[in-house]
Amino acid sequence: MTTATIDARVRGYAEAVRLHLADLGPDVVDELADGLEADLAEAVADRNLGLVDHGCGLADRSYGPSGDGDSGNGDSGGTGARTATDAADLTDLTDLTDLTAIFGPPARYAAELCAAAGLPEAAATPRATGLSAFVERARGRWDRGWAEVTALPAGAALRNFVVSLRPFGWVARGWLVAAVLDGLTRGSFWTLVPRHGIALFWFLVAVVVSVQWGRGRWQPWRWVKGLAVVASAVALIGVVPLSESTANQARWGWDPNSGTSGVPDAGVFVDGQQVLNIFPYDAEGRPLENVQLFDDQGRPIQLNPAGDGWESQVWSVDGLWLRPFGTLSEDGRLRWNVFPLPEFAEHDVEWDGAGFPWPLPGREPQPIRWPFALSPVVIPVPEPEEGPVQDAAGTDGVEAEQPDGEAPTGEAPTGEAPTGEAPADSAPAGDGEEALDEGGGDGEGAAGVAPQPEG
Amino acid sequence: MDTTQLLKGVLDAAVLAVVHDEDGYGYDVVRRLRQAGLDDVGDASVYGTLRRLYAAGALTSYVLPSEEGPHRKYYGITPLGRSMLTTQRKEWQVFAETLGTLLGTERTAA
Repeated sequence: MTTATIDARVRGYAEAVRLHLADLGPDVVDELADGLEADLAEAVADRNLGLVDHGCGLADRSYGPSGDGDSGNGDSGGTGARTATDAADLTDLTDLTDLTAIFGPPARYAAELCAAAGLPEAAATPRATGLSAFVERARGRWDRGWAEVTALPAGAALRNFVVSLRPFGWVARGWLVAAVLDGLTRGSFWTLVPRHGIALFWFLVAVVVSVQWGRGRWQPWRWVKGLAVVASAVALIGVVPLSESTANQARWGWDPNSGTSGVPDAGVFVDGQQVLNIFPYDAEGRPLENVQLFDDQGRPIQLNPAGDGWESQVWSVDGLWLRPFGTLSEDGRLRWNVFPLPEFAEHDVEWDGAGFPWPLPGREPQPIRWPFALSPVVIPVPEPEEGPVQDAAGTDGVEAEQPDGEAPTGEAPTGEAPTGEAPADSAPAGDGEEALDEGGGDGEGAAGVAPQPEG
Repeated sequence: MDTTQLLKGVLDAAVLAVVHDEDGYGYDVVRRLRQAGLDDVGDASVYGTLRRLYAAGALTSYVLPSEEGPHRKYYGITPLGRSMLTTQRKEWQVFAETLGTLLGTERTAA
């Protein structure tokens, strides 16, 4: 019981001394006050054993013969205190627990420590202005509040744990501030990940500065300390949004060019932009309609595979809002891989109960917006031997009676040979590259794309 | 006369001398100083002096676990500390003789 009291007092006193040293920076405090508790506790134990008149405070320091080399030597003071309980009367002991009577006020103790260590006295200069005085008082209250907690063994353990984490906080502060500055200079693109070597360099510089500040170094002017506080605040404020956007980037990827995150998990994209329609041309550069496209696994290529997401797929052409729509196949299903997708004007559609836009009866799709009247690229077609879909130089009459996709895919690879060369030639060809790969072979309209045996 | 003022000037030498005999931790040094008769020496002054001498390279330090209680930071003297001690011993001899003569006492420094 008594032992615990003394331990708590010792911790409280040591804590108070540390607070008075706090202005010197945590690094110096640790250096100066390292092991202070043990020293104090032992001094208390010694005094108990020596049974000196503690009323005189610092002045009287005589020691009994048992003061050294006994069992109390080197322990935390507990044993010594208990020995004293046996040896002395309890009144003395309780008085001894007031460490201020033994060591003097913590402020004086701290000042003495500083002076002897050759350091400028900390916290000796009162703050002048109103704001800083207020901050100082608030800080004092905060510290004193914690001092009560840390006087308990569990509190002290917690404090030590948190203190041991402090360097990580310094590193995090530097990194976060660098990330915030990086984001500001890049038009509010927020990420914790430096995106090139130079950025990484500045991140590391910020970390080094932050750590040095944390250690009480690199603060030639008083306002630098204030700057460090501001940096801490910025880091605290920034940590959540930065982490969140970084997590999103990790999940969705990010595009350093557009500054928007979102490598999509659905749809067809060219240069990071979603493809809203596909316009096929045949080998001679003429537009093709009703071309079915499939991928290498026989899946229909849909520009928005989610299907029901189509209600969001609206775009404007010359002030007219257009909605793409599927093509009804013979089996009555709506096919979204038949290109170009018919586009209906917004006022020509109505919404069904499920929120799906259907063209109104009798309304025609808008005229197809071919990007080129004729494709600038003409692909030389080798002499076909016996193409199954040879006939169709024309693009009409294809409609939905074409096979659904499973059947053609078997032959699909044959189409790859010609398209393999096409993309290099021009931008438009490149756009459709992916789709044409598969579609060219099976699409009946693709007259020029004759099967290539070696494909 | 306030001996604490006198102590200030020679505390370095006193601490170095104590540690020169045998390595010691903070309070251990305080205790040995007091046993030697420097009753007025303040704990904090000794600890601060130890830190300063350590920072100056006159002392080394190492941590030893103690039987019970927290680990102890021991200080030992370095070659630099030894030479500082030698110098300060000589200076003190001279100073003590001078002052002894001046004050008319018979005392010579031990």
